[in-house]
Amino acid sequence: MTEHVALVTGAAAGLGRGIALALAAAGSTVVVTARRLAAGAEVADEIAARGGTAWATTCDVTSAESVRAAIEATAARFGRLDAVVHNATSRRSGEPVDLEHADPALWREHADVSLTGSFTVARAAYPLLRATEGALLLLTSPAGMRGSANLSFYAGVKGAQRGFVKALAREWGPTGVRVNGLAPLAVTPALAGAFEADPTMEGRIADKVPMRRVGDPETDIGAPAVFLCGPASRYVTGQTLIVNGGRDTFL
Amino acid sequence: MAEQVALVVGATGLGEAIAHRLVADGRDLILCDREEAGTSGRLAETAAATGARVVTARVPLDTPDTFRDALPDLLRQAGHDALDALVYTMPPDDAFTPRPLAALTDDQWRRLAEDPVRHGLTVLQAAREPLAPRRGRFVLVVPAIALEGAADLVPLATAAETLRALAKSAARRWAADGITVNLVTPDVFAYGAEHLRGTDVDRGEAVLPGPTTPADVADAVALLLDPAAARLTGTTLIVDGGALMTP
Ligand SMILES: NC(=O)c1ccc[n+]([C@@H]2O[C@H](COP(=O)([O-])OP(=O)(O)OC[C@H]3O[C@@H](n4cnc5c(N)ncnc54)[C@H](OP(=O)(O)O)[C@@H]3O)[C@@H](O)[C@H]2O)c1
Repeated sequence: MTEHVALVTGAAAGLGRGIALALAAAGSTVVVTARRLAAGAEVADEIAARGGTAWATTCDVTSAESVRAAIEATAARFGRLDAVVHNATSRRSGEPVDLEHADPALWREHADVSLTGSFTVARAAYPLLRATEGALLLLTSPAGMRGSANLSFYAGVKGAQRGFVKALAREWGPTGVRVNGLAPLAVTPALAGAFEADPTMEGRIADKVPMRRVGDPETDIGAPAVFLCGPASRYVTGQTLIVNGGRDTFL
Repeated sequence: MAEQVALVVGATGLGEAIAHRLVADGRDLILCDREEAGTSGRLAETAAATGARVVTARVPLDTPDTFRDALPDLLRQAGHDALDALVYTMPPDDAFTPRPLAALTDDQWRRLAEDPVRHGLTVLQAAREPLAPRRGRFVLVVPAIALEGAADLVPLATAAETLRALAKSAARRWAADGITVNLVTPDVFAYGAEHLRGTDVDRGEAVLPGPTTPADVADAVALLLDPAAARLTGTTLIVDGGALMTP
C-alpha cells in the first residue's frame, strides 16, 4: 500500500501485535500504540527489523485525553491517518464474572476500554479518517453475538461494539469512511499460557472449529484485518468479519 | 389475587401497553419506573375488571442495590413471593434525538449510551433470584436498531446491542434454573419516534400495512410469556412489520 498510515490500540502483544506486523508487511506505516511506551517500541523495532515502517506512542484508551494526544501526534508526524484498529480489551476480559453479584466497578473496567473507548477513538480519529476516506476497524468477538454464561460482561461490551459498528457505518457512509468489525479466534500470550497449564484445552477449543485449529494472530487474523483497513475493502462497511476457522456460521 | 405476577420496568409508552396487556391476560402487576409511576386510566379499568392487583413504584436504577432491595416489599404488596415474568422496556430519556457521533460530548455519551446499559444491568442482576422459584421469564425490549444500526443514533444502537448481548448471556446462565430470557426488538416508530420518518432509520421496508404500535409490541411480549414458548430462550422477536426479516 502506498501512503497508508494505520494506528493500532493495545498493539504491544497478542492480536494487536499480529495486526500491526501484518499491516507493516503490507506496506502501511504503523503507529503502534500501547499503555507502556517501551512495550509498543519493542513491536515498532520488530517491524523496523523486518524492513517495515513503524512508530510507537502511548495511548490509554480509557482516557479521552490520551486518545486525542496519540492521534494528534500521528497527524503531526505523518500528516495523515488512513486506518484505526481499536484492538485493546480490558485485562480482565477472560475473567469469569458472577453476573448477578458482580461489582458495577468491574462493568466499568470492561466498558471503559471497549464501549467508551470505541467512542473516544472514533470521535478523535474522525477528522483525519474523513480526509483520507479511511477505515475504522473494531476487534469484537463471537461472544458479543452468542452471549456468554461466564464472560457476560465481556460479551456485553463486545455486543456493544457490534451495535456501534452498524450504526456508525450508516452514519459515516456518505463521507466514505468505513466502519467494520472483526471477530477472531487466535492464540495470544494469555491463551498460550492457559494451554500450557491445561494441555487438553487447545484440543477442546479446536474440536469446535471446523478447521480444527486455533488461529495465529499474524498469519491468520492479520490478512483479513489488512483487508478491512485498506482500499481492497472500499465497498465494505457495517460488517463483522468472523475469522475463526468456521466456528460460527450464523451471520 | 391472580396466580401469576409480572413486573414491568418502564411505566410509559411501550411499558404501559405491555402492563395493560399482561393485566388483561389475568396477571397481577408490579409497575416500576425511574420516575413516579402512575397507572393509566385504562390499566386501572382493566385491573378492576380482572381483579388484578397493581402495585406501582418509583425505583431509581442508578444505584445497583436500590432495585434489588425494593423487590421483596413490592412482591409482598402484590401478594406474591416470587415473579413469573419480568419485562424491561426502559428507553433512555431523549434517546431518539439524532446526534452525529463526532459532535457528542463525553457527558452525552455517558447519558445516552452508558447510563441505559447500567440501568438495564441493574435490573438484570436482580432478576435471577425472584424469577428462579417460579421458573420465570425475562423479556427485554430494545429498539431493533440494535441489529441494524442507524445513522445519528449510535449511542442508542450501542446501548441496545449491549443489553441484547447481556440478556443472551443471562439466557445461557439461567437456563439451568428454568428461567428463560428473550428479546423483543420493535422498530423506532413503535416508540412514537415519528420525527425519524424519512431519516436513515426509516427505509420504509415494512411489508405489513400500517405502523407498528405499542399494542403489537405488547402482543409479542405476551407470546414469549405464553406456556407454549417454553423452549425459546435467547431469541429475538423483531416486531417491525416484516422490514428486516432475520437473515
Ligand atoms: N484472542 C482471541 O481469540 C480473541 C477472540 C475474540 C475476540 N478477540 C478480541 O481481539 C482483541 C485483542 O485480543 P487479545 O486476545 O490480543 O487480547 P489481550 O492479549 O488480552 O491483549 C489486550 C491488549 O489490550 C491492551 N490494553 C488493555 N487495556 C488497555 C488500555 N486501557 N489502553 C490501551 N491498551 C489496553 C493490553 O495492553 P497492556 O499491556 O497495556 O495491558 C493488551 O495488549 C480484543 O478486542 C478481543 O476482544 C480476541
